[in-house]
Amino acid sequence: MVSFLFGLLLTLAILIGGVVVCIYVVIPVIGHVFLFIGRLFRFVFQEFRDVLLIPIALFVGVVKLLRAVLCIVLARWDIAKIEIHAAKKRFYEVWNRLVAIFIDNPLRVIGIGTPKKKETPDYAKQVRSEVEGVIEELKHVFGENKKTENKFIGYTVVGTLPPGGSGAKIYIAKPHNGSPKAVIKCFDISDGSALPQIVRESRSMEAAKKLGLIIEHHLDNKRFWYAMPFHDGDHLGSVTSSLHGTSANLNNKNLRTILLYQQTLLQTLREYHLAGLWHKDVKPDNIIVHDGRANLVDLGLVTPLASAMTLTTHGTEYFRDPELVRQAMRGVKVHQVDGSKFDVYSAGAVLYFMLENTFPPHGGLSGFNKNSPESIRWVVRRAMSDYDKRYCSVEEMLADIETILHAKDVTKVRPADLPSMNDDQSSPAEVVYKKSVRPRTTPSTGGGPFKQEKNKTKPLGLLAAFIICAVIVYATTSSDNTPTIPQTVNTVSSPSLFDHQRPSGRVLLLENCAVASDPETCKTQVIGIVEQLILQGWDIVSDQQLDARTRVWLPDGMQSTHEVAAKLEHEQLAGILVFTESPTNTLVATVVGPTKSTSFDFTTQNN
Amino acid sequence: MNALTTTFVRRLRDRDEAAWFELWQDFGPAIRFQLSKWGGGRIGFETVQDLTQDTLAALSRCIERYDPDRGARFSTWLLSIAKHTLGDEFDRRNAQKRNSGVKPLSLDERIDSSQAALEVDEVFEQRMFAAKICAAIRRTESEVDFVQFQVWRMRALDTQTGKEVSEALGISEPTVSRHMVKVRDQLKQRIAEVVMQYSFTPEEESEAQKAGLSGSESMFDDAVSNLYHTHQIFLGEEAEGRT
Repeated sequence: MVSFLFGLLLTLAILIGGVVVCIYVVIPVIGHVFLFIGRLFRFVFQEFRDVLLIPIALFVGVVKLLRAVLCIVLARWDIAKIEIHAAKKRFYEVWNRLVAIFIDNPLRVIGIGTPKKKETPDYAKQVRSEVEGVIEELKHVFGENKKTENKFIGYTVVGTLPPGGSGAKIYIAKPHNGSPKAVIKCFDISDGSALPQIVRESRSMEAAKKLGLIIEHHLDNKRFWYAMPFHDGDHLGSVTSSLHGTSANLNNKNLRTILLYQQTLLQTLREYHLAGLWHKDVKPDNIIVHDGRANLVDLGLVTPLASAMTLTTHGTEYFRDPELVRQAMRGVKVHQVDGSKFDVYSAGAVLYFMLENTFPPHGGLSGFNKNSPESIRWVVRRAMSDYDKRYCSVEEMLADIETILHAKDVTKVRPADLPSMNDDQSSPAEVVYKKSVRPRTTPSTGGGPFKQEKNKTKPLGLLAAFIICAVIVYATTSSDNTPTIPQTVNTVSSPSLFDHQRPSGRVLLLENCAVASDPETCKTQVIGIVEQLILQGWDIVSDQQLDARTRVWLPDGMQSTHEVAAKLEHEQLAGILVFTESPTNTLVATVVGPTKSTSFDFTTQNN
Repeated sequence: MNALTTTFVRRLRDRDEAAWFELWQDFGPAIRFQLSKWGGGRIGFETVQDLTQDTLAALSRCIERYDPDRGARFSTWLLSIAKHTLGDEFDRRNAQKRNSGVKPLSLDERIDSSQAALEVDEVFEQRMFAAKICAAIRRTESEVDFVQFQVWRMRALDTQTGKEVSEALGISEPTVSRHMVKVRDQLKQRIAEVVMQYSFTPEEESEAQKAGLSGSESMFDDAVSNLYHTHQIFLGEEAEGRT
């Protein structure tokens, strides 16, 4: 019995001991064996991988290094830096894999992991220093000094910028005289730059230089380059994104910032327009924000306002006035339109962009989805409205912006408080001109198939009636018998124009006073003559769109032809009254009708 | 076809640039949307732009042979041309890939051959009609005084009250009402004209009535506002797609 019990206990002890041994010895040993086998497999895999990847990394590194050398030769220092950085990373990778093959991977098999090295290994440092040395050597041989100094006398190229649509190369350069950095835009015929592009860009250089937009420019047989001030900042697109951030609406501070940007942009545009230039490509990408100012860059499309070139559709969709496209499609010349008004449209689109953080998808009819003060929206809508309804100048728009900006709370300003709503700043001559010949509005669709409404002539009729009444009252009350010719007229006109048979419909007024020897006098004379004709019952209209359209097909000699008759009928005109200056500096009026054209001379009175 | 449509078609046939620009401005976005949709991501925005222009160019060729007796809607006709312009593009690409030198079927032949088989897309129809209303709004804006139009815009589209508008613009409420009446009357005329101009069938001509544009003044404003905002959403989507 005792022996049975002893045997049972012994068996139990053996069993328990066996279980314990299994748990604490056998299983861990088996585990370690499997772990070792696993590590062995992983070691083989890692070794295989590293051996395979080393030549690849080495190859890529060498290629990158060669590319860097090529970039150095081509003086593309910034790209060279990127390539060197990439090559360095590849060589560092090669070094790490070599260390892994001989040290890390074997140690991991026996369970010893190597800590990751944070600092750059000596080898990588050596590679870097060697590469930098090579760069310096190459700079010396090919010559940062030799090449770039010869390329742009007085400047050292320190970087490049992405090229725009013109195909020109753009460099960041340091002037040797210690002035701030400059941007150099270079068109090189040998690099594929087109001559028309060079001609276009060089047209406005002198005017731009006077404005300080250009530091200097050079043109020779092969290339054309100019240097502009460098604005080291972000473009308005990214600045606007950060202003909007994550919040759905703009706060008061952000609104003020936007208005400040808009103010500086308009001030710049005002300088352009006063200098007789038109930017033509105002958009967020071309506005660099630097030191709290919105700096307008890219002079690629800058055009003189009085250019005789044909209007082109260049520009950027959504920021370009549709009217510009329409006029360009008709072949209108630049001087026949007011290019500054297209800049006004673009400035309005830029303001919309800043308020909404997106471009205006529907032009002037684009809706506002974010909260913004009604007064600023008003400015946007006014700037982006039809050509003949928008601000006459950036000056007018600027006055509105400054009014909002100077208010204590920008959200409290009403559209009614804006100067443009109470605008009466036109010069007396312009006022007379505008009142006597009210511009006729045509649909922005270019006229459309719609008949011109009869009631559109009513204001002119009323104005004529008013002037007749005023003249009668004046004639009856005046002590001396002053002629009924308005005082604005300082001409003695040939009576034949006033004896000319009155056309039986609308007569379009075209005047070329802008190119007269004395534009102001010419304009005053025209106003006086037109007033008299209106008094005689002529239905004279002045419309910029119609004006531009007509100039395209009007024959140089202004003779009446079948084609002219057809065009007049198409435009629903009875005739065209054209004022030009003769070679003897006298004003000549020509009435172009469907069947005949007649000219009349006016002699200037010099009293 | 009515007189307005005939005049417009004649202008297109005469290569009147203004008429083409009008068509591009009014319906370009709708065509672009449809082409992008059909392209299913296979064609980029620039290609869509080109194809939209091709569509209008094809229209200029087909317009000579348009037969009003077939009773096709203007929108369907435009859609048909757009679809076959895209088909032609894909044929061209495939031919290029194969390098077979097989000349794709001419666009004119395609348009004539299978116009009837085209499915009418409801969204496209909505876009087309909203585009017509927005074209009418744009024309109205061109014809009326700036302030008058803004009064109507603030009241009808921005849903501000007469009092709010009057305070914002510093004018009396009766003046606001007068401006509203004037612009609304003008807009009604323009909508009638635009719808007539771009309608080839009586069904298309009656769309304005169906959209509630012949109701009371407030109903008219609401209907215009809805269509305007629908169009804004469409354009916004297109803009987002572009960016």
